[in-house]
Amino acid sequence: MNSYPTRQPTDSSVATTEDSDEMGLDELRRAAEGIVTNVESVIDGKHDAVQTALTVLLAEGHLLIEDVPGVGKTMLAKSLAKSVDCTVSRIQFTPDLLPSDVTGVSVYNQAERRFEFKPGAVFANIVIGDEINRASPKTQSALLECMEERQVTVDGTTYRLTSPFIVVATQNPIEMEGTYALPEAQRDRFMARIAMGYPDDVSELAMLNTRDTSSPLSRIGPVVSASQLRAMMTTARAVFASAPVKQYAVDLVRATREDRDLRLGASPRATLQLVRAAKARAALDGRDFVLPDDIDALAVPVLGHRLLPTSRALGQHHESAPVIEEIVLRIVGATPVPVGTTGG
Amino acid sequence: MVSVAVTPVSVGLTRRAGSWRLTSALLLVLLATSFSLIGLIQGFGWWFLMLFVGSLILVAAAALRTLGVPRILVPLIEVAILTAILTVGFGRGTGFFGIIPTTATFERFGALGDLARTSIYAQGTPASPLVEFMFLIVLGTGVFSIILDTVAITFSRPGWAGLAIVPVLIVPAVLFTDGVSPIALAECAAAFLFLLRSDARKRHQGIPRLAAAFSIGAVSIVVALVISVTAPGFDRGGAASFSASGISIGGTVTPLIDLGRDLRRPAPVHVLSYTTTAPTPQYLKLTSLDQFTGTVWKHRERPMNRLPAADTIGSPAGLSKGVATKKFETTVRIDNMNSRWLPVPYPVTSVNGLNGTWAWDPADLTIGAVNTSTVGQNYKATSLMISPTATQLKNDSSVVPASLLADLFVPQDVPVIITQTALDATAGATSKYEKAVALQDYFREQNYQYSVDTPLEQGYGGDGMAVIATFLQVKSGYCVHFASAMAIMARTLGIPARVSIGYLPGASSPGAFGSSAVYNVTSDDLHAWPELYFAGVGWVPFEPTVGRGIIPSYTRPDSALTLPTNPSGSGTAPSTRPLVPVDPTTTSSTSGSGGKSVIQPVVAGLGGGLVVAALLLMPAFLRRWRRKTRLRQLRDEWGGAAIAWSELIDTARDFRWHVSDTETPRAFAARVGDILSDLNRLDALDRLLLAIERESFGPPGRFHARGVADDLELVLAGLQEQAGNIGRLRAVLVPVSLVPVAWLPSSETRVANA
Repeated sequence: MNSYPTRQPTDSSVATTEDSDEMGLDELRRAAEGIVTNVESVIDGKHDAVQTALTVLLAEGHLLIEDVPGVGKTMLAKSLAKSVDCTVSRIQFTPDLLPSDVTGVSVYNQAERRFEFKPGAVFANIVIGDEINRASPKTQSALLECMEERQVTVDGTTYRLTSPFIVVATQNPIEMEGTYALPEAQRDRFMARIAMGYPDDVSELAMLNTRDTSSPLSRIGPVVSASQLRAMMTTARAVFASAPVKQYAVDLVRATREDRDLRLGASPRATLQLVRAAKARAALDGRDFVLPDDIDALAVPVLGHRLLPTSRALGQHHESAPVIEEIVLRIVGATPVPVGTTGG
Repeated sequence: MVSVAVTPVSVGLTRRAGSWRLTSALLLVLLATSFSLIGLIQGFGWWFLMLFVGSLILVAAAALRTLGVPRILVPLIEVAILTAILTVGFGRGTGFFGIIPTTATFERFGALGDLARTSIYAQGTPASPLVEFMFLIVLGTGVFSIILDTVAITFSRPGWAGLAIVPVLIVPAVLFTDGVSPIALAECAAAFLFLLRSDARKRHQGIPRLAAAFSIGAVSIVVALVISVTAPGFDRGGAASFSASGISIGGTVTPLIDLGRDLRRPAPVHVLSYTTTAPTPQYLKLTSLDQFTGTVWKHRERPMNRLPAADTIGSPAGLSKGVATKKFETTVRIDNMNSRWLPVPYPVTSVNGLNGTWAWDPADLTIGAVNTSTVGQNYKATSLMISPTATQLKNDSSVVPASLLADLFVPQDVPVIITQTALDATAGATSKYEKAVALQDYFREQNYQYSVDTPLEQGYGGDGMAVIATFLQVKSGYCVHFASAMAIMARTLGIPARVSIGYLPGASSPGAFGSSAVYNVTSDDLHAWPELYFAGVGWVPFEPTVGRGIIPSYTRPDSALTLPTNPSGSGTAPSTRPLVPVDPTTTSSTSGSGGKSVIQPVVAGLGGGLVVAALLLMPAFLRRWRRKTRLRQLRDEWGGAAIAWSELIDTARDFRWHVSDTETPRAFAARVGDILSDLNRLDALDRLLLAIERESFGPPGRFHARGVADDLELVLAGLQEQAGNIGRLRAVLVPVSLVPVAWLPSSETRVANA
């Protein structure tokens, strides 16, 4: 098992020695607030998107940001990555990008007369995959395998990826030109999909005033270390999910499979990730247990991109996302919430 | 965290709740007491009326207190309410605007009271539902309720309220022959116990008071049990006795007065049915009244022989072998009569099939109950039919045996009119037999009138000497007068005589049991007749009463036929009676609907209204009970946030909020928070929310909420405040939360709680 040095220079000012297993909820909240403040100094008026992105980050899930060009997808991904002191790589996906560009390649070292592995862009704590749906399916799948298995196999040798390993990918809506739609199986590997949406008038005006001159990204730096992030993740994972809440998640997911407006429901992996994300959300809220509200709030981002509406439900709509959001909200609204089923 | 310290709740709220709890306990007391009166008056109109008036006053008082009227004023307002009820119901429009009483109103009340006094004398139990009785019921219930309320709540002495129950219980104890039913007594005791317990809870004084309450309850139950052992007739009274309205006779010292009351019933009550193998219908004798004190005929108490099961009874006194006798059997089913004497044809030789212990009197063959009563008995009696000839009766040797001297007793001061009439009537007769027949003929031929009302109207109801003297002048009366007059006159003439009471043969209808005709006997068939003693034959019945009964054949030497004589058509001739078997329940329920009781439909209306009101209020009571139970649970232990949350949701639903089971607690709390203005309440809501979330979804075993009940009350108060008067009223009267959410059609879906 090999661990590879970063391709970006590390800021050594952030301590990396401590590698605590867990972190108090209060401490976690403080750290999370630091990240949010950092990110929001770059992106105005997108609190929900930032919050969800951070939730996914804490749940150690992969995030898919889908929206039209120019609304700040990459900005969000980059600022999030910059807030954490860890290795970050960015891959700009293009139709001619090769799988080996992502995973790495073995090259022959003349001097030492042997093959040497040159790690690809995926060897980083946070991998930003820009416009992922512009790459060919072959390259896409190379990345997506890494995402699921958190390891890379080249020429028969398996290289373990460092933890945390998080992919933040952006994509344009599949209806845009020059895109290869992500297959369902690969979309399923992302924990959540969020949309940025257009900023409101105030935010847009503020952006004109502040960002016209310099790139705001250059002004922010890391606020948490990689080990801190790992501790945050451990804490989030330890959040208690009660039996009724798990049942509620199962009920929700099963409802998507039985809904008449959906031709593909969510997978069991979706259930798993829904609860995991809910735990992270609870931790961010300073709670050590999951509420049905957490599940509700994350249902659209976590389930949305995995569902396929029937053509009848799609109707005249160009984009499926709003239709799916409507369906998921309807399902959430129709699933009974268990209250008081467990004793104190 | 939920507050550890107990948040002080408004004291006024608790006190008000306590007042309502006591009021409901008082309502229970009222209900239990009303059960003990069942059977006093026919039908149940009076019962509904009683509950209506009582609950109106008690609930009004509680409402007044809740509204903040000074406690000391409440009794006065209660009196005013009662006066208004009486004026509306009985004032006949004499009041201002119908409700404010005037002098005329009070005069009318006084008249009603006087009328009630006479009617009580005239009516047996159950009495007809007359206006004056309804007046008494309303007045009595009103006073009773006011006393209960004043003592228990205004002066906070619920224990003393027990003293108010006692006089009410005395009424049935005096009027019923067998006293208050033990069941009714136990119900009163239970209600009283509940009252004390409510008070104990209200004061939070714990053990001593509870112990006192339980000891009082125990004593009451013991008393009830003792009475139940000593008193016969377990099946009357109490909530279980709604069908009881039967005849009760023989329990008092004045059976003839009871008899008169029963004869004056507006509608006859079915008493018993029998079949007989005798060729002619038979009188059923209860007992002989052989002791005449000058004012009253009584049954002389003698040592009695225990009746062996299925064995014979000694032979009748004075019967010689020469007299023709014939055995016959009579099968009797008693449906609706409570007496300590068994109705059998005289002279009886054996009785089979009785329940309980019975004994027989060797002197007059009366069969008396030892520790039981006639209620529900079903038996077969074998009797003798004695057919003496006129000759045999004339052969009386004129020597009265010493054992019968008591049956010749006549007081010293017997009015002259009695002795003189006796002598005049029997002028020319030589033998005792001829004198007896002459006496009987005298009553039947000298323009005597049969009337159950005349003696009463003229003030000579009863059977004493003075009464008989008046009767002989007025020449109008009923069987009691005829029988006792003839018996006294016979005694003055030296013939041993006594008065028998029992039933006329009744009317036949197609057989219900056995092949022979079934005779149905009603309260109208109650009868009294004289028996005279003739040596060699024994006691021989006569029939002096005009228009009633059957004239014995041996008193008509010139006529071979024995015909029932019933010229006045008073209902004893079989042909004039309906051939339909009489159902006792319909008889009693249709009785009293005569022209006299104008108030009956009003009462029925009130009763119906009360039932409807009770049904309408039922959801409110259920809802209230549920909230009380939940709050008690919450106060009894920590935790229970789920209970508190259910109550919060139910209250919101009562206020017509749309609450769906797909809504998370947090989302619901957000909605509640929107309408709460008070910061304390908002904090309470937050604590509640945290508690329910922790309890439902948190790690098990780490968390117990405290002070949930207080927080809940704060939030509920906020909800109520916001709801407005109409909303609150609707929530109280129509609490939709009693219907589970799942049963309702859910039209809306929840918006996301993001």
